[in-house]
Amino acid sequence: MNFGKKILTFLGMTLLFSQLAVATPFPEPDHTSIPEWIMIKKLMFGEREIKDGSDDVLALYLNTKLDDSSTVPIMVNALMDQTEEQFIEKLYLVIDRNPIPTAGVFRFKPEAGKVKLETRLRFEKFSFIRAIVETNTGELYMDQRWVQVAGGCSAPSGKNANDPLLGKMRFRMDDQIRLNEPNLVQFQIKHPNESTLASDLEPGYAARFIDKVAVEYNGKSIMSGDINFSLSDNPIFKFYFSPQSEGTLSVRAEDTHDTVFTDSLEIGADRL
Amino acid sequence: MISIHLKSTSILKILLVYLMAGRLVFAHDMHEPSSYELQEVAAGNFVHVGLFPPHSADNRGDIANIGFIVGDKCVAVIDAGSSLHVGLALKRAIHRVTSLPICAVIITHVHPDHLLGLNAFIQDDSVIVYGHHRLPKQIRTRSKFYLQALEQYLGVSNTDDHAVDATLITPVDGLLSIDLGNRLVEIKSWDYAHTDHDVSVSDVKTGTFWAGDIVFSKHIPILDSNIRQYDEVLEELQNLDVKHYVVGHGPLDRPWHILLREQRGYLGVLLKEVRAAIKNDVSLMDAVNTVGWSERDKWHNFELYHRRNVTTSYTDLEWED
Repeated sequence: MNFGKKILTFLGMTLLFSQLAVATPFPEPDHTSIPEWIMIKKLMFGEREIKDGSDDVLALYLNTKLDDSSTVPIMVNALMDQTEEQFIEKLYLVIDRNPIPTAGVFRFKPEAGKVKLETRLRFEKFSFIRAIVETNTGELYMDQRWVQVAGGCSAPSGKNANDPLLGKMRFRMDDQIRLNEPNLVQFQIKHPNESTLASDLEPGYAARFIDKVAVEYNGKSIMSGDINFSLSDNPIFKFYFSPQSEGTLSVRAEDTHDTVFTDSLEIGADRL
Repeated sequence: MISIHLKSTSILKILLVYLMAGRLVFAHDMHEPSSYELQEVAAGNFVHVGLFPPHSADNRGDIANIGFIVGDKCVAVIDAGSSLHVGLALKRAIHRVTSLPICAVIITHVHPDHLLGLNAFIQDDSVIVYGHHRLPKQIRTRSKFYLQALEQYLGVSNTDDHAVDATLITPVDGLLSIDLGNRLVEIKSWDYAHTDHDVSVSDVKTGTFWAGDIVFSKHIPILDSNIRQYDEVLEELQNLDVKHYVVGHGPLDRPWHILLREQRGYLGVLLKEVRAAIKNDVSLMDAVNTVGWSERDKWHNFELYHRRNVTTSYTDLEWED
């Protein structure tokens, strides 16, 4: 297997900048036999069975043609509804060959009605991206895709950590919110989300990235996540929530330099 | 086509053999191409017109338009090519044209097809290397990847000799004139254009404008910067009195104002449609496959670079108020 790994590394170091962007054709390997994954799986889930969820539990989407390894949009859709009896409790995003393979662990609630997550990721090497959900009954289901872009974590960040807009948040949702139904909401936070591998960090400087996000509605959790620099700069999240009344949507994010960013959005009677 | 049912290790071996074979052929074929052609776009302004990107073993990195200006005393080189191989080919071509020494090398921006041949020219201490004041930082942060890429795509075995010393760069901030002997050459730094560290070069005597990669001809423009400011730079260029021009990629026999009009047209479509996509809540995932695709047939290498241009502009413009 060592031979294979070396060649993968050789091929994986593809080009960062457009003048050199050459597609290296590389066939999709068997996703169950990736050595990194075998190790990650054992560490994260022990001997637990992970079933193929692609038929009826979840679907992972991303574009097949990718050309910016530091900004790869992905979408995970649950194929089952959230009910009190059966719901998705956690969503793990795993990029086998990233410096921190667990790109994110997101927690959802049955009240959301439906689960979706859209975000953008960095890929350091050719790798599988895996979306694994854990249900309230403790079952694990996975869907995965093979991704052929590389260099996204070690690319120069090009963004300024002293950006005056650091921590600024943007919310998006429909003008009209439907009570007791899943509504899509998106928030994005201005933050370089620096990778520890970025080549323009000064020696000895600790990379600054967001490691926690939490979203509440009227003080009750809707979605929360433990994340890292596998998410692109200016991290973005899109997901469902089902409000039962007017109220306040609040976001709290915390970075590795212990800075807390908060913002909120009032959902008043005018939007209902 | 390799069957995907082969075991992955077999595929790896096949690929490895394929790659090694490619490199051997390349190594065997390292001799100087018999005709390294030059074009004199204006008196004393010589250009080698490169092939279209991307890099490959076939084109051996000869993918950018690079050249030189000859004064009464000495020569200024504008861009050094993708590798020592390309840089040395240009140097030999210079010596065929003139016996005057090379006194300046101007690097228009950091991208490797313009930069990595630099060491072909710097053995002589009297050569001054000019670049944007932000170029040294870009060299420091990007060099490692560029050298790895050189090994991977051009089969260069010893990449150390290509490593560019960022401290060599004499920074240009604003306008700097150099005299090649009865010939003034103006180097101008731009804030945000193709990249955030482009310089252009003007030969005052003939009105020849060397645009670097700020302007493309037939090849899709590449955005490694801020789209709004890039377009403002192009607008500024439209007001310049340009009698002759050199651009970084593509043919040089088309009217200058058409190049600028086409490129502003592309950026205009990109800007308008990306803004609309953001406004209409079209996700980035969808936008890269829908925004600006009406421009597809107008440009060479559109499929290769357009999506990236969409990503670069989308992730910037989504913070517009």
